[in-house]
This record gives sequence, structure tokens and C-alpha cells, in this order.
Amino acid sequence: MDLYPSQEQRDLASAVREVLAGRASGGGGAAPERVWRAAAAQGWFALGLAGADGGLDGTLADEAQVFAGIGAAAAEGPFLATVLAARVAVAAGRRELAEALTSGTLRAAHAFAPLDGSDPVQAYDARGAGVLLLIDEERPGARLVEVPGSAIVADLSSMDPAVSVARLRLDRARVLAEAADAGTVVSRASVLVSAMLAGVAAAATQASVEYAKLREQFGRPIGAFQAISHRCAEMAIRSAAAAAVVDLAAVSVDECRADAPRRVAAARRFTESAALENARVNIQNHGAIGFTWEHDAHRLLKRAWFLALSVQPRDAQTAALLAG
Amino acid sequence: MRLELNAREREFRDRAADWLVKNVPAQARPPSGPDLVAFDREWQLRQYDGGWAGVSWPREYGGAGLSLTEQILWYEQCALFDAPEPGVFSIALGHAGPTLIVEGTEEQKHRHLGPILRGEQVWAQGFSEPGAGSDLAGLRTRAQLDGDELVVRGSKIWTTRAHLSDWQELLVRTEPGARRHRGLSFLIVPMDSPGIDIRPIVTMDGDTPFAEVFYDDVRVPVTNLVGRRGDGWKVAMTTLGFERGTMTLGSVIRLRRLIERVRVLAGERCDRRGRPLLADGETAARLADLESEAVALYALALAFVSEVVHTGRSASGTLIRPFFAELSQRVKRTAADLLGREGLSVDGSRQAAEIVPSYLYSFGHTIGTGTSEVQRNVIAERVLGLPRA
Ligand SMILES: Cc1cc2nc3c(=O)[nH]c(=O)nc-3n(C[C@H](O)[C@H](O)[C@H](O)COP(=O)(O)OP(=O)(O)OC[C@H]3O[C@@H](n4cnc5c(N)ncnc54)[C@H](O)[C@@H]3O)c2cc1C
Repeated sequence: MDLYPSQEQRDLASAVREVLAGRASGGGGAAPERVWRAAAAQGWFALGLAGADGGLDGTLADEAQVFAGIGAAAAEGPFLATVLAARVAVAAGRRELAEALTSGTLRAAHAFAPLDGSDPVQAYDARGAGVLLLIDEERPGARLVEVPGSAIVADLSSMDPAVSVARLRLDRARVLAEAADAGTVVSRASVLVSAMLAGVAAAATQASVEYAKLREQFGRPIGAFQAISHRCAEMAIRSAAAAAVVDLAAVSVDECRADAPRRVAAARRFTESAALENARVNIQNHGAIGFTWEHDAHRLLKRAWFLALSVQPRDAQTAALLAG
Repeated sequence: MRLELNAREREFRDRAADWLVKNVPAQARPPSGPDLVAFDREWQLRQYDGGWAGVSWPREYGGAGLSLTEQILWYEQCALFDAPEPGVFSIALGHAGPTLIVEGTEEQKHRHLGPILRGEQVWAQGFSEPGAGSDLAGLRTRAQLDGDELVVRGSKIWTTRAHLSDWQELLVRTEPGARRHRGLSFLIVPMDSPGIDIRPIVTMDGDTPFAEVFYDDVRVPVTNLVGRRGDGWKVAMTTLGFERGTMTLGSVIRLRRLIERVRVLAGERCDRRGRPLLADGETAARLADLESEAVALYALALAFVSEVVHTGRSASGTLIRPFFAELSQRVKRTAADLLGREGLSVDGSRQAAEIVPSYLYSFGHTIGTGTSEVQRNVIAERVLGLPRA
């Protein structure tokens, strides 16, 4: 039993941090070319796939390290959808499609909708994407469809500056791949969403702690006031537990443990609350400067909000957590 | 104790309801720009003409000269009929005017109080500075006496509506050598004075509600001093007393209305399986919690007003603001949650367009007018007599 990250995992996490350093979202959801290329070159998109499928034979726990870093940076770019799309493509035997995704030449958007494609769907990061990962939460099902530019009927303004939102028509969209085991895709997605949420929680903690040491009022750093220091301590508890529960869930999936579904749901639920709460109090800890657009505090809150509405929503979490 | 209105109160309430039915504007308040200012002006003037501006302000300055009880009844009727809020006049009506009533000279009262009630003066509050937020007494903007003028140099930040304002309550340091609370003065400054430069600041909801304001040798006549030179702290505390006390009452009353609307939303919207959100136990419990808190807050506000009416003072004023600010943030969070993924774009629906920005803006409630933490310090030290940290 060992939840300590390996040397490789630690190196990976710091490489991710370096690629994303100083890159808070500029708005609009499009990852800058430099970051996207570096991510592909480092193998972020191939990491969790088997070597035989053109992957790097990494574990879900390895992927979680990457996504924690992406979350902490509130980075833009469809990293998660692209990773998941590559997995769906591989499973469906679409080798060239998978390669285009893992090499970073093709980006994937995502949307939550029934697979029949009848109604227009609200999709995330569709601008600049060549394929769309369509997730049906009810069945569950997942498929990849082609998104030509003409499928975009409207660009919508996005609550979260790290993604773009668009309305798509899919009635004539070509299906490229169908996930045979959508449940696996969704459960891995849930772990990686949790990892991003844990990253958000950690980034909020770090921002608050740094500011509490720096900002002075009444002749001393605000961190000297217990209202602030206790809150920072609570943030630290939440973010440390969030990081740990993500690792626990990821390793449980990697080891195919029977209790994995419950642990995935626990990670999903806990990291959601931790990220939302840490992001909220981080704004409060900064005072008015934390309320401005210029400051990154709101980006963490909006990331947490967006991710909280991603795969495995609350009712699904509850069901999994209470299952015998 | 009674909740039943007496004859006088009933007459007031019926008259208010009667007037509001006929006068509340049918069109919605424009979201921003000159249309919004014009809308607020028009509404304020209409209230003035109807005799409803400044319900609890003295008659000699154009108010109705009634008590806080009538003020509350007025707010309740306004909430009931969805009357517009004071909008750009919130500072003028909420604390600039009330401060002048208590501390201003006769000349100042006549110059400002009537025009404020008629919607002719938009006011801003220039207290906070980059280095002096919670620690207001640490402010550094200076005003030096030069003949019968004070010359202001420095900068303020987070000044709500600086770019729309005609006048400002400005807190400055006038007594070199005097430390902190001593040595401050409270000035009325026309915002079109030469030497004032205003740079709007964008907030997390994408709006520009406040600005940074620079003062480069701005000349202000000494007759614009409110209170004596060096007595600015006392005057500023009067202002903050209104800002954190009576000014919040209207919003407290409106909050119950807001919760009602959230409940309607939860009844109308359905989850993925087509069940109304309100049928979900978790959502229902959350709304019930909010409702109980809002009723308790309303009760606290009534108790506060009643105590003031009976005894002329009440310590519970300071309890209301942090309770309100935090509750209203939770109400708005709940509304945002009900939107689900529709809330991920304000273009998603009419409700998203209203709820998302209002939730994001609510983060300012627990920071502006003094942070929730500072308000807790005030309660601990001044109300409960606990030792200072
Ligand atoms: C929407 C909005 C509108 C505003 N409008 C105006 C306006 O019109 N005019 C104006 O003058 N100002 C205005 N302000 C500024 C507001 O008054 C200040 O933001 C507030 O007083 C806090 O100061 P600060 O932002 O510098 O935060 P800081 O004082 O730096 O506080 C940072 C954190 O430290 C905490 N803290 C500080 N001191 C203590 C302590 N002693 N004990 C415990 N915790 C402490 C705070 O609670 C906060 O969490 C506005 C602010 C907002 C958000």
C-alpha cells in the first residue's frame, strides 16, 4: 500500500506545471498553439493508452497528475475531451483517428446529449475542434462524431473563460467511432475531472496563503488574523484530502478493485465541494482585488463551476456512493 | 408586540400600495449605460412627486418625516410590487444624504438633500485606497489647506459608480503629523473638478461597477468640509453606520422576494428525467433552509427597527449586514445551481442572463461596505465587548 507519487509521477507533475506556467486562461477556450504542441510532445494525450495502441502505457493515476496541473492552472484547451476521444477511437479500432488526437493535430470538443443528434446541442470547445465527443449520460453511451465548421449554429458567450461554448446541429454529422464500453470512459473521465477539481482547490489554497503573507492591513500581514489563517488552514485540509482521494480513486480503477466505482464517486463529490469552497473563500481572502476580472481568483471559481457540471453529476454520484 | 398594523400604519401601507400599482414602471431597468441612469432618475423623480422619496427624512429637507416603521412598510410594498431599486442613487439616498442630515451644515443640507430626493445628484464614496481597505484609517490621500481651499492629492480605489457620479464623499488626511484616525477630514467633492481622473475597473462578472480615481491637486472649498477639519473619522463612522445599517433594510426585504422567485424556478424546471427540480428532496431542503434563514433575517430587521423606534438606538444593526450578505450569496448560488448546464452561458436562456451575473456579483456583497470578517470584528468588539485581537 503506497499513495506516494513515484519519481516519474513527480517529474510529470512538474513538467506539466512548467508547460502551463504563467498561462492562466486568456479567454475563449483555445489553448495557445505552443502549450498544445508541448502537451502533445510530452505525451499527455497518449499517456493512458496501451503501448500496443500507440500509447505510453501510463496509468490513470499518471493521467491524474497531468490533469491536476491543468486544473490548477485553469488552463484553456480541450485536454480532457481529446484524451477521452483518443481512448474511444482506439477502442473502436480507428487507429489513424487516435493518432491524430494523440499527436495533437486533432482537437476534440465535448457535449452531453442523447446520441440521436436530433436537437441542437450545447458543446464545449467546438471552435477549432475536428471531432466531438458526445456523451449520453442516461444510457450511458459515448461516440465520436465529425464536426465540420458548418455544424456550429451559434457561438455563445461562456461563463468560464477557459472554455468556449457553441450550439451545434448534429443531424448530418458523420459518426466516426462508437464506444463499446462507455461506462469505462465515463468513469475515467470522472477521475480526471476530479483531478482537475483537486487542482483548482490546491491553486486556490496556494493563492490565499501567498496573499495572506504578503498583504498588510493594520500594520501586519492579514494571515496574522485568525479569520484568514484558519480559513487558509481549512483550505489546506480540503485541498490535501482532495488530491489524496483522487489518487485513491485512480489507483482503485487501475487495480480494477471492486470498490472503485464508489471511490470514483467519492472523489468526484469531494473534489467538487473542495474546489467550489476553496475558490469561493479565495476570492473573499483577497478582498476587492479578488473580485476583479484582472485577478485570477474568479477563473478558479468558474473552472470549479464548469467542472462541477461535467461527467457524473450529483444524482449519479449519490447513486454510486450509496450502492452496496 | 404585534404584527397587525395600527390604523395609521394601515393607512400608510394602503396608500403606498395604491400609488405603486399605478406608478411602478412597466419596462425593465436597462442593464447599463445612459439609459439606466435616465431610468433611475425618472423613477426617483416620480417617487418624489408622489411624496414617497425619503420616507424617514425630515420634512424640512423634502422628506416625509416618518419613522423607520413606515420606511420598512414602504420597502415591503416596493418589494411586493417589484418596484425598481434606488440604483444609481443608492449611495446618495443610503448614506450621503443621511450623513449630511446628521453632520452637514445648513448650506450643505439645502444644496444636496432636496436634489438627492429629486434624483438630481448621483453620489460616490471615496474611502478605500489600494493600501487602506479594511484598515480605512491607514489612508494616505492628502488635502492641504491653501487659503479657503483644500488641495487634494492621492488616489482612491473601488469607488462605486465614480464615472457616473456628480458628487463624492471623500475621506482625506488633512492634519500632517496626526496619526491614523486623528487627522482625517470628510469632504464633499464635485466629480467634475479639474484634476480628477477616473479609470474604470472590470469585475468578475464582466461589468465595470467601480473605478480607480486619481486626484492631482484638486481644489475644494473649505465650506465643503462635513464636520470640522480633523473630525473626518467620526463623520465617516456615521456614514458607515448608515451603509451597514438602515441601507441594508431594503435589500433584506427584497431577499424574500428573490427566494420566492427561485422557488418558482425550481417548480418550473425539470431534471434530466423530466421531474420538477422541487420534487428532489435535496433541492427542496435547500430552499426550505434558505426560506427559514430569510424569515429569521426579516425578523431580525423588524426587531432592529422596532428597537430604534422605541429607544432611539439598537446594537443589532451591525448583525444584519453580514447575515444578509452571506445569505444573499447562498440564495444566488442556489439559483445558479438550478440552471444546471444552461448556466454555463449567459446566452443559454433569459434566466441564465439574469442569474449568472447576479450570482457572480454577489461575491462583492461580502467584501464591499466592509468585509464579513471586519463586520464580525465590529460585532465582537463593539457589541459584545470582546477584547481586540
Ligand atoms: C463591490 C464593491 C464595491 C465597493 N464600493 C466601494 C465604494 O464605493 N467606496 C469605497 O471607498 N470602497 C468601496 N469598496 C471597497 C471596500 O470597502 C473594500 O474592498 C473593503 O473594505 C476591503 O478592503 P480590501 O479590498 O483592501 O481588502 P483587505 O482589507 O486587504 O482584506 C483582505 C482580506 O483580509 C481580511 N482582513 C483584513 N483585516 C482583517 C482583520 N482585522 N481581521 C480579520 N480579517 C481581516 C479581509 O476580511 C479580507 O478577507 C467596494 C468593494 C466592493 C467589493
